[in-house]
Amino acid sequence: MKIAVIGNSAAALSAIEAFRKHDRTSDIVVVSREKHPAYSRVLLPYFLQGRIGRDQLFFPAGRFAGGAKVRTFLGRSVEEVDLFRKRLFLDSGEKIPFDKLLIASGSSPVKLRIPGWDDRHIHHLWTIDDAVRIGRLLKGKKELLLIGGGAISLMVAWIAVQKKMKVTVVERLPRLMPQVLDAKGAEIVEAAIRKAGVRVLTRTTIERIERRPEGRFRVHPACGRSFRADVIIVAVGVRPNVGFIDGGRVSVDQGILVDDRMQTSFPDVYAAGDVAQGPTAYGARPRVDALWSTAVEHGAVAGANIAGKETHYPGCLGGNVCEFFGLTIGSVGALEESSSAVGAERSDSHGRSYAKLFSRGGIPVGGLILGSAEDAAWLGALRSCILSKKSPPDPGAPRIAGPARAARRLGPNSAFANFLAPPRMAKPGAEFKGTP
Amino acid sequence: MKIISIDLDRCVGCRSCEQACSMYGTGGFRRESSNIRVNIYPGERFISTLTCVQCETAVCLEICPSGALARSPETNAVVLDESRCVGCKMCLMSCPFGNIHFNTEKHVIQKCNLCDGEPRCVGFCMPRALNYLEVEEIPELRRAILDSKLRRCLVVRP
Repeated sequence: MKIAVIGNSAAALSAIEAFRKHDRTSDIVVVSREKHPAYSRVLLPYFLQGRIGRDQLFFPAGRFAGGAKVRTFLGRSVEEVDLFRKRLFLDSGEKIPFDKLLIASGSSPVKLRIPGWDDRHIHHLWTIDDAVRIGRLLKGKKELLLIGGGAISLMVAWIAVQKKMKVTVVERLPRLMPQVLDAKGAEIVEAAIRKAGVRVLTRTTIERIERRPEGRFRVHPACGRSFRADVIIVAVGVRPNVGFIDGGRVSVDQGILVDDRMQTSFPDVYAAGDVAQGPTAYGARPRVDALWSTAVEHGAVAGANIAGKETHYPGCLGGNVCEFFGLTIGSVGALEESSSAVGAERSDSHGRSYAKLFSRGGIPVGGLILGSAEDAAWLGALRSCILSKKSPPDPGAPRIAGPARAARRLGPNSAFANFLAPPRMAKPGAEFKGTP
Repeated sequence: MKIISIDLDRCVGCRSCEQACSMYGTGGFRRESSNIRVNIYPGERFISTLTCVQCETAVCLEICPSGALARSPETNAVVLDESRCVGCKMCLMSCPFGNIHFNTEKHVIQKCNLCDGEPRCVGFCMPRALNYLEVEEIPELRRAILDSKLRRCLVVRP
């Protein structure tokens, strides 16, 4: 059997790994638009920060491939997919025949259209080349403008603040990180960011960017005073790379629609990762979940199914975690308070730690945390509760949410309220007060 | 393949395992630097001790975007390569048991590596609640524990 894989990141690698568990003989061909071997996008901010070197971005040889015999076409893009004759046409002229195809072509950053805009001077942090270029640009520069108030943008802001730059973050919506945080969480983040000296402009759009002769920019927001910037980085979300796909044959909504086996509407064609629009674990309509964790899960399901081992995907959970300005921020599942979902929250008195659980009819559908690094562990327990569609079983602190045994012993008391207690509310060891 | 088995009925909450783990890992006695955690709930009269179970399908290992986690061929434990870890906390977020912890000093995660096949926590467990056993032996142990409990229940008291 011949397998063709478009893409060479999380979903593709995870799929190849899963496929090779069941099939060690079939040919695999990987086509990637980027000329580099597989690397980790998640690490790019850490590379920019200087915490790791460029070679550490690449996966150690054999970690993912596992000795998988894979033929790669790097730096080539797919021009066309002939679904009926089962062939890929590359821009370099090659034709690649396949029996089964996995589309894991990922996504690209959304570009903004603003007068005075010149694509050469606007940067996105998305590929390894972008990171190298931005790293070079930031050297010796004073003022940075970040358009978009999401995780990538704020991580870059944090790095720039550490490099003693003057940073402005512009967000179109009324609050920061709208996809990850609720209003109160966003408030805490905004306060922490402002305290670090970053200017935050919410409800703001950029009307015009003027290029100054000395290579600097004058930025004119729709309302308010104009300001200067040396470097402009845009991070306003990503869009699936579906350009080369015949939308008439393969159903495409925002991304390529897939079922719970990662199969598209066309037989023997699978999609995974940022490009796929798949089922969710929390009862929402299929969505593009452009996250590393989802891509890995997608890939594992797709790889097994391509190898003929039927596997079903329980749905994406949208798990995300990031850290900046001394805060760890994480979320899983659905984060909307609607008529059907209620949110219950807990926070400590210092306003440093905050957690919220969203549930629908007593069944958890999502949650978010904001606080110290260890708090993120709560999300792991919550993930399994969302997947099993059970109310949180454990009345202990979230960190120990595991043993169903504890729940059996204690009976169904106010499990819900206790489950919510964010892990670091008490100092370590403080829960032990004398001999029971 | 051996893992650490925890018999919660025997655990008295002395926290020797935490101290031993912390001492072996960092040379100090800080609970935060231990990979095994004893949680004591006096109100509910309940103690829960948790350490990494080295899952066969380890989510942490699959999700790690930096390739810092790997399966040790000798002990079958999921071990961390600190030089590769960037502290992104994806594993922390995905572990269903909360058994991965964060080292705020080095800014990397920390997890149980079975002390390369000789877990210190097991050696220092006074009530013998912790045992380092072959996976196949554990059901046997569980059955023995259940047996002794049943026997206790069935004894007719005068």
